[in-house]
Amino acid sequence: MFLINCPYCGERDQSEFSAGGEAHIVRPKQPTELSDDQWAEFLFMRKNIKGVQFERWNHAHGCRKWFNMVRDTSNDKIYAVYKMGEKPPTK
Amino acid sequence: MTRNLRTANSKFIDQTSRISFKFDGKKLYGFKGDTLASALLANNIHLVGRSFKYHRPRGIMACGSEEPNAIVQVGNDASMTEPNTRATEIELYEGLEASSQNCWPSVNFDIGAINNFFSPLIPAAFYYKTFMWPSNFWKLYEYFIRKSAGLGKSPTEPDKDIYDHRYLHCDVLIVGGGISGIIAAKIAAKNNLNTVLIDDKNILGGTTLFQENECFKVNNSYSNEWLKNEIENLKSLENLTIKTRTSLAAYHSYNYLLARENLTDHLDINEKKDKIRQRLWKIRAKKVIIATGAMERPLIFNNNDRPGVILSSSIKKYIDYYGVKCGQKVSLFTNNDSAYETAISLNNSGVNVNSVVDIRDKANSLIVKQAEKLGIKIHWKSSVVNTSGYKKINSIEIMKLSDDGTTVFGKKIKEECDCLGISGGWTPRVHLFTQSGGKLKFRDEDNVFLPDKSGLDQISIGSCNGDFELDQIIKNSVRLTKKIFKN
Repeated sequence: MFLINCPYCGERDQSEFSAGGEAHIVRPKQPTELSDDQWAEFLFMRKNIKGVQFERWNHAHGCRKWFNMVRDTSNDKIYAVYKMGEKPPTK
Repeated sequence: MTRNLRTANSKFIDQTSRISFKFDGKKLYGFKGDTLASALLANNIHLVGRSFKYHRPRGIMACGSEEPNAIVQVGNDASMTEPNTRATEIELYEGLEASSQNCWPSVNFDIGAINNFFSPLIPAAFYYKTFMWPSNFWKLYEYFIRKSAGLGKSPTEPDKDIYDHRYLHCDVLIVGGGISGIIAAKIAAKNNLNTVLIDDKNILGGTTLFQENECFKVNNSYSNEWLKNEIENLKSLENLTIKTRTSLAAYHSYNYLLARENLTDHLDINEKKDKIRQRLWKIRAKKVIIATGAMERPLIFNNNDRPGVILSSSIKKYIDYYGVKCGQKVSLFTNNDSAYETAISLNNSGVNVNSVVDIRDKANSLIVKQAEKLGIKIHWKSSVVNTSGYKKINSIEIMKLSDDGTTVFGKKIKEECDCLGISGGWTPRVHLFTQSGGKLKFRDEDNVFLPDKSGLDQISIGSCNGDFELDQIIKNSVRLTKKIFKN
């Protein structure tokens, strides 16, 4: 169970949050112009890496706001938490 | 029978308040402070169950959560009965009813024991491979196989008890109330940190509590006296919460832990009503200090599973803590010094110690010299090669070990005994540490796994960190605890 530092509310238990998968996937501007393969690529394909990953989280049972998080999936260490629209930390 | 297996001088058992309980339908007596196991031993009952497949007799082997054999069914009510509980962990209460498992018609006469004689014919996977065909015969087999599978009986009606869960947030959580846990708790609480100390037993102190020997001294007083004083002093510390009868069940990431507090399991049967039975604590701690201690290893030889073969440190606890003699003529088999502590304790309580069988060439530590001075016979460089006695051990066979320790030679010495204590050294209880994701390292000198790397804010101290000597435990516990508060 993680202890997540929500950028709006502060430290809360993981049970208040829900995970939203990989972050920073840009929605294509003109979906109608894409082939089925390209659309499926956007919709379904995720990196699922072992190591440092950028992901989206929602404080579902709190402020209900979305935010981003940098987490190492191998040891669950959270390196950074930042608001939607903010630039991801480079290091 | 009960009387002469009790010594009069146990400080931890209230011999004025007698408790009656039932085991396998027979009414027996114990005292307040006993566990089911110690009360059974005091009634000279060693045989408490049967093994799973061959139905070999099983006796009490240890004295705590490490017990592998004395697994019993508690209660006979359809909703309250509990299977597979360790007799060594059940505190005795008025009206307790327990029974043996995996035996029919009784633990003394078990039909299933016939498997033991056919064991060469029923190898691993026998049932699974034999009862496959012809396939429509399964309906016939099923009844018998279902009957022989599993150990205890599950309750058939819903649980009537009340359970509770609560959250707990603290600066420091200390797991284990033995000597190092108490040292850490004192340092933490004095640093103005909100500290919680938990232990699964009903009182704090661990094994040091009944360690009364001039080889183990702290500041010129016996280690048990010193520790008792320290525990008294803990009570005056304001920011320290002590939870006894609480066992840690899980250690998740970010120091999130689950613990079970036992609230009424030790109460008399008519006092339990309408009270919360157990409470689940969901703990979030900033720092965790693991002080879970170590457990004794068994030794390997033929027929080392007979009732009456007990870990030597457990024999010591039964005699020094519960005042119960595990036998009248005890032999000990060891590869280290700790069995000599048991030998001395037994000797002081008036139990015959036949001999100590030691696989080492010679040892010159103070405790061994003390045992020699008491006239305890020692078979150096020897090994127990076999035991006999079906429902309880009645003799052992000893042979000399060769120089490289790989073979035995010479004449078999037969020694009659009614209890054999075994001590194969110590294993640090690193289970909690590994569950939290920690990695272990191996120490070659004494073949133990020790805590190494962990991603969490935690430390292991005391014998679960590989310190087995008293002065080492105290010195390193203080050092490591102070270190974790610096960063």
